[in-house]
Amino acid sequence: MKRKRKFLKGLFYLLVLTMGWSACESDPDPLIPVDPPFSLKGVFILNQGQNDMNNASLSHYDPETGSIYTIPFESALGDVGQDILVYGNKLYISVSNSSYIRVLDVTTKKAIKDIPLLDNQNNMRNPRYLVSCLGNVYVSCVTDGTVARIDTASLSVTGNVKVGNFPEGITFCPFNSKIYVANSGWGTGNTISVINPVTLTEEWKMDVGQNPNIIKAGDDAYLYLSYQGDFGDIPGGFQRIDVRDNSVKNLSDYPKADFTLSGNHIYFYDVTYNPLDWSMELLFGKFDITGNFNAYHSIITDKTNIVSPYGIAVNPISEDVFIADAIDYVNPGKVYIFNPEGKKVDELNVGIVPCKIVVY
Amino acid sequence: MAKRLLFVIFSLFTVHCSLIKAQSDTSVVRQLEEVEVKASTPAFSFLSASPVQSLSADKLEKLNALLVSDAVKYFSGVQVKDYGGVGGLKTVSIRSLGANYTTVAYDGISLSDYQTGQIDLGRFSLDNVEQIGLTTGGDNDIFQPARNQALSGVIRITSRTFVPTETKRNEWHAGLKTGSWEMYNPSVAYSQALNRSFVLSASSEYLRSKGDYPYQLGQEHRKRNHSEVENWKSEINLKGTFQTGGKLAVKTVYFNSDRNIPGAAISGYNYVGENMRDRNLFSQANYTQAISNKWQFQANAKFNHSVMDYSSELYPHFDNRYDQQEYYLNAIALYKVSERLSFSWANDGIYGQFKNVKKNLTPARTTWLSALAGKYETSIFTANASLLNQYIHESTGKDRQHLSPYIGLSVKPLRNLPLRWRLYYKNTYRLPTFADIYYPNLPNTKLKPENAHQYNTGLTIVAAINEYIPYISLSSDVYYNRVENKIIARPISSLALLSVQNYDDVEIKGIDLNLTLQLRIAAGFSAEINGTYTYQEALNKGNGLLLAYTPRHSATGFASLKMSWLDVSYQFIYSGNRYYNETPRLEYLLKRYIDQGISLTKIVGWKDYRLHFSAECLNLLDVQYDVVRSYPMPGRSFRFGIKFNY
Repeated sequence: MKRKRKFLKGLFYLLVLTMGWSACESDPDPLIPVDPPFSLKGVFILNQGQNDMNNASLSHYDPETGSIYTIPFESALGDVGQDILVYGNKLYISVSNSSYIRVLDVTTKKAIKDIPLLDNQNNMRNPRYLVSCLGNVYVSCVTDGTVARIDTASLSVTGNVKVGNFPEGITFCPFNSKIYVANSGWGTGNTISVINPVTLTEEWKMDVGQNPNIIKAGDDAYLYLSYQGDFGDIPGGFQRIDVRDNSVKNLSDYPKADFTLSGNHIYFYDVTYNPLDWSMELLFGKFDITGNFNAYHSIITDKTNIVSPYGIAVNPISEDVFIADAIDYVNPGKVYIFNPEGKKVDELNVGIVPCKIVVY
Repeated sequence: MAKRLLFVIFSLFTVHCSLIKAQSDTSVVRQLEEVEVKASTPAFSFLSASPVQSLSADKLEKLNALLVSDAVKYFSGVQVKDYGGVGGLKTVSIRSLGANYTTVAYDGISLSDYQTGQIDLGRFSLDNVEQIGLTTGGDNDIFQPARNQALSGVIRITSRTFVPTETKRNEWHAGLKTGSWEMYNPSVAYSQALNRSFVLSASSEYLRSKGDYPYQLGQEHRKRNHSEVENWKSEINLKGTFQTGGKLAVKTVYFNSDRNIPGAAISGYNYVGENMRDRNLFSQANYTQAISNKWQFQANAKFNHSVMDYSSELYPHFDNRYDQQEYYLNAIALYKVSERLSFSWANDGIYGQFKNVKKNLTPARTTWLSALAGKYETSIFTANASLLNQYIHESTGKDRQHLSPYIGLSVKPLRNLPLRWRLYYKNTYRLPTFADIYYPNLPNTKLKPENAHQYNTGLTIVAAINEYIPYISLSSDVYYNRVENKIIARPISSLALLSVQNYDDVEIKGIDLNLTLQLRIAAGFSAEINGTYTYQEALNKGNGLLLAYTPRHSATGFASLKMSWLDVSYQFIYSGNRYYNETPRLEYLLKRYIDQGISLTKIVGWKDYRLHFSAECLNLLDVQYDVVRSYPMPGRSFRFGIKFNY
């Protein structure tokens, strides 16, 4: 009940903000009849699990009631959950070591099918990241260096395209209707492949920073790319690619891993390891994509202690920020929710190594 | 401290008195010969300030044990991390300290692994083994290499020795074991007396297993594919005594192992085609000379070369070769001040080099160990103390030095009661292994060594009650261990990256109980019962949670019935509930299990010839369990063996 009130309060603030008023501190009437047509249904949280432990899991959070639970499966979700994507009324989960995509009905939260991703010799392809467009889901496959196309009607693989080695992050650019995939080369790659999603051919490879990781398209002609470097002499960083002239611009030294785009902002966390003793330096922030990238705004302003940030998402309506904390990568992690002022509003107990959060 | 000592209450351990057993054994001549060799062991264990457990060949034969790791499971306070099957890695952790705290000595000289610092006990079959012993803490025998004193516990593998007589100048063994999932294990050994005292012996053994045992994953019935193992082991020994009284033992071992790695049992796809090939050659020599009544001298030398080739059919990118070399020299002087008081000074020099061929990393480590030990022993009192100095020079890191003390007491408090009370403290300094330092993409050269403190107290009672109970021993130990700067490998940022760091302190409390009971029911009809129980609580001081994979309760037992026409034995291993991480939630639970087996053995003799027949049923009730999450253990299986001795 308390959480529900909090949510309503959030919505109230949102309404106030969109009307251009300044937020006031007075308590809103809790009985305000708010039933917006654009309300959220929920939040899926993918817990990666540990390598070889077959303990990936999926949590579901209801922002309205504040309830969080683990979605039960008849057969275990599998080994190393990598990415989730909601498209249509289906949830696609790429389970990397188990080498399949598990498809769920979003409403019933029941598994519909496991789509195996195996090569001609029946070897695993290790699906990684997912993107959807034109009635298909595209998935990067790290072992054989390909992108597979899955037809969302038949839920089967309808084609594959060879890209660079160890492809990771993948995105669809609505501006030119191309798919871009980051060829990590297991740390040694420095290209992204440009794919025509219709003909399913690789058109060309573009040079970017070393060990490209996550790539995301904005609503315009820009792609944003994080690259990790080699965790040693070659540092990672953050780049913007203009698909009109294919120019690559270095924006910042961070984020080097996961980030998310919401509205005019890039929300990110960043971890820099000291290669001498593997101690960490953490950053949590957001860039205004219309401004310059020299400075970021903090997204955590209270004393919340996040140990091992491993995933980030934004509620597009409330602008609440979800940050996954893998803590020690062995015991169950947490997801923290921060309001737009950077204050923690909730703390969710999730599974082992929460890595991906999807607000739908 | 007072609280810790309060926790410590009482204790006892198994003393395997071969003498009594041999007396109760009317049928086997060979047993009597062994008595001479082993008679000193029980005395040692009873007097020792640290718990000693051992299993001799005749017991090993009844344990359904193929590998040394199978046998070690029957010691109290021991956890064998078993990845299942013949080829699965099997390492031993004593009292939850971790496998890196266990020395494994093969005929007196330590085995080593510079990469992981852990010895895979699944590599050693029990075929040519006379005895396996476990000392937790410090050894009562101070005439020992410093290296054997450096860690928290020693597993001793003693191989069979032929003692020639005037009439019997050579000895033959030939055996074959075969069993479920295409397991074949032929072996042959020959010993020849060269002169009055020198014996040359050679043995060779082959072990193959397809290992495709069935297991259950959720509702799915599956087979453990890609788990074939093929091992070859050959060994040459020269052993004897010179006329000057000097004793020499030289050993050369070649071991070749080809293994398919089945990987974790996970949902969906399971094949990655990982293979491992190990080749290992080592030569070691031990020389002991008594110079006078007061002085004794001992020298040991060893050369070890091993190559491990890793290949993956799916990820040829990760194919690699790991090469290790070690040179070891040791000298020990023992000075007996009197019958009761003696001192020893042991010095060891070890040079070890590890090579990661692909990364072109060649770290090397030079270790100098010096141990000064003293012992005062009477029939009612034993006091041991030693100080071990380690000086380590590493090619890539800074030099390190550490002093580790050990102190132990053993007292027989009452003249008429066969009861012994013991107490010890031992400090162990565990350096990071090369894998710890170089596993991540970049070496963590700032890694601090672990520093472990062991406190133990215990009691042992050994008695012969009457002619029906010729032997009973009960022992109990209570212990407290603290490990500072525990080294832990954890993934970071993505699963491709591992970081190895010093984490919080670990605190381990536990109780070990051992029981051995021999019963003589009638002539030619006797029984022996052995049992162990371990209670432990291993706490991560950082988060206050219990460590993963540490059951509170575990127990083992075996009972054998000796009849004139057949020997029957039963054995079990029980492990209580554990969690595979530190969070005690149902979803992370590894359920308790009991793995039971039975075996039948029969020895037929004619003159000097012996034929041993054995039939074993392992995991009788076909219990499905994991010791390590996602690595299922085999279900019910059978093994048959025949062995010829002359």
